[in-house]
Amino acid sequence: MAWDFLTSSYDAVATKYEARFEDELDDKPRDRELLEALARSVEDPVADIGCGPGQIGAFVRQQGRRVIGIDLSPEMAKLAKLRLDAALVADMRALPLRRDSVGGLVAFYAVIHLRRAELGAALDEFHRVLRPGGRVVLSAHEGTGVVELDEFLQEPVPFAATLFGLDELVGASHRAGLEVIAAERREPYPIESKTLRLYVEARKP
Amino acid sequence: MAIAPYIRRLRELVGTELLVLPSVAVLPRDGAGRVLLVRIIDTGQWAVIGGAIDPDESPDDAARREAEEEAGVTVELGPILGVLGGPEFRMTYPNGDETSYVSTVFAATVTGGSPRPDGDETSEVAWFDLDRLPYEEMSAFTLALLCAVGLGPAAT
Repeated sequence: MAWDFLTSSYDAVATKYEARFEDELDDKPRDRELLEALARSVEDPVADIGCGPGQIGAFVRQQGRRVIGIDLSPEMAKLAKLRLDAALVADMRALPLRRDSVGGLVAFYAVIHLRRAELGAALDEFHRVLRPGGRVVLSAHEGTGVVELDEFLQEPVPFAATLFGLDELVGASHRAGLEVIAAERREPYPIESKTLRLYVEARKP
Repeated sequence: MAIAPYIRRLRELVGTELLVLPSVAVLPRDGAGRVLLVRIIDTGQWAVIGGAIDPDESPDDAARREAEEEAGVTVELGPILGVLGGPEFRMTYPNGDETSYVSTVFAATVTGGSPRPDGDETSEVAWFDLDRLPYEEMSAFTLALLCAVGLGPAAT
C-alpha cells in the first residue's frame, strides 16, 4: 500500500469494519453477479486481494471455490482466516504466490489504496500469478485525484484512496498483458457512499 | 534469527549496509506429512527453522544446529528442496540492518529430542498439517520460502 499508515488504520478498525461490512453483498446484487460469474469460470484457488475480514472471498467460497485472502493488515488477515481457506499478510505489488498459481483473482476496492503510479505494478503482479485463462475482477471508485481523510469509520485514524477513471483501469490492465472482457460503471446502491462504481473483468491470455 | 558473533563483528565494520549471507532453512516433516514450524519471539510470527551459516561451518551442519537450537530436535537431513535468493529474501531489520539471504532449504525428519522452543529466539514449536499452515501469521520472507518449495497457500 502506498500510504504506510493504512496498515495500522485498518488494524485499528478491523472489528468495526467487519461488523459494518460482513453482510454488504446482501445489498449489492451486481457485485454478487460478477463474483458468481468469476467463481463459475475459473479453477481453484482464487486469491482475494485486499480481502479485509474476508466477506467478499467468503461469497466466492460459497460458490465452491477455494479462496486465499491477502491483506496488508495483520488484524484483517486474522479475521479473514475465519472465513476463507487461508489468509496471509502481503503487499499486492509483491504477492507471495508463484507464477501461474491461481485460477482467479478478485480485488474489490483494493487498488484504491495504491497511488496512481503504482497501479501498473499491482496489475503486473495479478498477471504474473494468474494461470493462462485465469480471470480477475476488480472494482474502484470513479473520479480524479485522491481522497485523504483524518478519520475512518468514525475512528481517529487516517484514510487515503485514489479515484480512478474506467479508461484508466482498462488501459492499465491492457498494459499489464490482461485481456479486458468487460468494463462497467454503476450508480452507488443506497447503502454505499455516493461515488460511481467501476468494475473491470479481465483474462490472462 | 539471533545475531551470531561473526555477523555482529561485520556489523561493527559496515553498519547497516547490505550484507549477502549464506543461510539454511530446515523443513522437518513427520509420517503424517505435517511440517514443524517455530514461532519467533521478536516478531510473534511463525517461521521455518533456519539461520545464517557460521564461518567454516558446512550448510548441513548449520541446518542440524539450527534445528537443535530453535526447535530442540535432532534431525536427519533429506534432499535439498531449493537454493533460494532474490528480492523477496531481503530483510530490513527494525534497527536498519539490511541483509539479503541466500538460503539452502533442506527436507528433514526428526530423529531425536522433542520439539520445544529455546525461550530466547523461539517461543513455540509446533507441527502443522499442510492445509492448516498459519499463513496469516507469517512474514513475507517465510511466505516466499514456503511458496518456492511448493508449500505455499496456492499449492494444495
